[in-house]
Amino acid sequence: MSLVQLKDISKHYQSGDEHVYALDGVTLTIKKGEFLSILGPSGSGKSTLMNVLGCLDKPTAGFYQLDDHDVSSFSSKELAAVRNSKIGFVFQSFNLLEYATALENVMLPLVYAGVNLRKRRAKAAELLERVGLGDRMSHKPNQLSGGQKQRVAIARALVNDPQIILADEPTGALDSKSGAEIEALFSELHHEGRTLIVVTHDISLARRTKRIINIKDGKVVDDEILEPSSTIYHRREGD
Amino acid sequence: MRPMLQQIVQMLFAHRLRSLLAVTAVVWGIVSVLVLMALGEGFYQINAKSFSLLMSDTQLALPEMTSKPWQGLPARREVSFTEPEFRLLEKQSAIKALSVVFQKWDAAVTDITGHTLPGYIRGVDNNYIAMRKIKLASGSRNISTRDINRYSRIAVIGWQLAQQGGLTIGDKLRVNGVPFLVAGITRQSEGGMSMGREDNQVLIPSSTFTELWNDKPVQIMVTPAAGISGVVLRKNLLSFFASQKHFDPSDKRAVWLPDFSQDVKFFTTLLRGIQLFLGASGAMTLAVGALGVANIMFLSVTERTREIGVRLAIGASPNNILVQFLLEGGVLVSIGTAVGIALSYVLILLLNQMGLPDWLGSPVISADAVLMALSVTVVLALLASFFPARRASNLIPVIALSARV
Repeated sequence: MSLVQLKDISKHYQSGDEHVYALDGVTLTIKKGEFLSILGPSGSGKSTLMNVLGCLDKPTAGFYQLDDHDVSSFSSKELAAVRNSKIGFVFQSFNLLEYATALENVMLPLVYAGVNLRKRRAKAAELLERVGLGDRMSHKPNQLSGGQKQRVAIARALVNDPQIILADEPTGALDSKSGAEIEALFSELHHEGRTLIVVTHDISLARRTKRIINIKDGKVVDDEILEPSSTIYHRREGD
Repeated sequence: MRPMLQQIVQMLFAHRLRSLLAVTAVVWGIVSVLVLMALGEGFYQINAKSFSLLMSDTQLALPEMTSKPWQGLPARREVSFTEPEFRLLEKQSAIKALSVVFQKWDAAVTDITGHTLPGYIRGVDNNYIAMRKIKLASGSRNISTRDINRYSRIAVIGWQLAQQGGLTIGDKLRVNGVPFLVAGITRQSEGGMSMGREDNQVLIPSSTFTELWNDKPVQIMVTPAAGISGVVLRKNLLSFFASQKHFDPSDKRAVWLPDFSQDVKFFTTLLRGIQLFLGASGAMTLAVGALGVANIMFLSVTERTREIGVRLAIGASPNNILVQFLLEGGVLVSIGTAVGIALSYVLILLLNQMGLPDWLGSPVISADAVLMALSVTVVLALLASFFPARRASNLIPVIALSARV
């Protein structure tokens, strides 16, 4: 069952005299429960694709259907509700509120969802336990290591039980040990049946996912399905 | 709303210096408005007291001289009334109270040892002190009807005269050699000016006065009944006097009925003008304070662009962001206002305890001043927070997230 459907998605903008095609007619389908990576060099358009997928940016043209809703026609308020209930973000630089504790950071999406304090606290605490930070709930970000911060960010991304988790270079700012822990956590989440999309230029991280979408110059140039036996099927554009 | 307020308090604590600066700007503005307006109010009240007679509805009437011929009688006839003639006015429904006043400028006032004192005599009835709004020092008593009936030789003297003669209640002084007991002393006038050398007067019962001198009253004071305007009262009095003494009722020079309403208007406008000027100066300072808050709020939005991006990414709507920043500004201004009002009261208390010059009066914070300061602050707070808040809520998530701050 398809969760995401992109059809001829384009994102153009003017940068000085230059007309930039950040995305140029991207067509893509993502099913529920998939664990995929969007791979590409700097400037390839992978971050723009993630922003469009995460409803952080609107495409210039094309059709975007998320969970059976045509979100390409949604207002700012409706998009905010979609981001709150259907999408969880994990950023390279964690993006935690420095003055709030780990627990308060994880509770934040529930504030905007209108959940009461008791439930917010219980859910956030449960997720911090889940990512192994049960003993760090009242710590502020500056009292946590990079890996711990990223785990708080993952707990925050999960707190509203989103349809998709979008991670932008989630291991980019971490040492290899912490990076491996985060990768392992993502694999666990995948096995729980969650849909994960990881944007990266790190081929080894991409190899841990089950599908790799290669993007270059704003176009999908390769779409590989990685089977458990590591047999790779290629779905070229137009297949 | 509650979780948002909790977050705001947390954020304000996290940025202590910035919050403190914004609050200080508002405190400074509020204190300026309230203290300046309190000084203005004190100045107004002390001067209004000085003009209390002018500003009350009590009407003076002083018989003078006709200026027009009337029914075969010539002009330039002196007009005078006896006390019983004046007392006829008490029967008129337009008149609530009457006081008949005798006066002697050249009486010899001495202390008991014979030293001359610079006083003059007024023979008055029991209404005079109240109608003239004279305040008496403690231990003093008013001139009563009993004093008038008994021709008592008692005197209520001006505080300046008492000071010069070293007189206190129970002492004696002499008027044309006749001893009088000092039964009362007026309280030192609080205003910047006193009316007609009243601080040197010796008030004695009118009956005692007429026993000493065979004079006619020099003036009366009249309080109109409720609902009677000054214009109507003066017209009534003039027609009464004209019929009694046979002069032209349009002859305004026969009996002088001073109309202080224009002067009162002028003085009131002047005093209120000074107060308004002081209030406006304070309001300008408050506006500068609000600009400070706006500046700090803009800085906050710029510094926290990335945070706004994160909030938008995790589901905050533009409205949530708008409300958050409006509340942040509101909380800052509310704290500043509360502290400012409290500090103003403390400052005014200290100023009053320090003892300001008499002409400045006692500064007082009026409810109107607090209300005005609050209204100005609410408007300024909304303006100071709205524009930064709108800028924050208009941010596009992806652009806000890419901010380098």
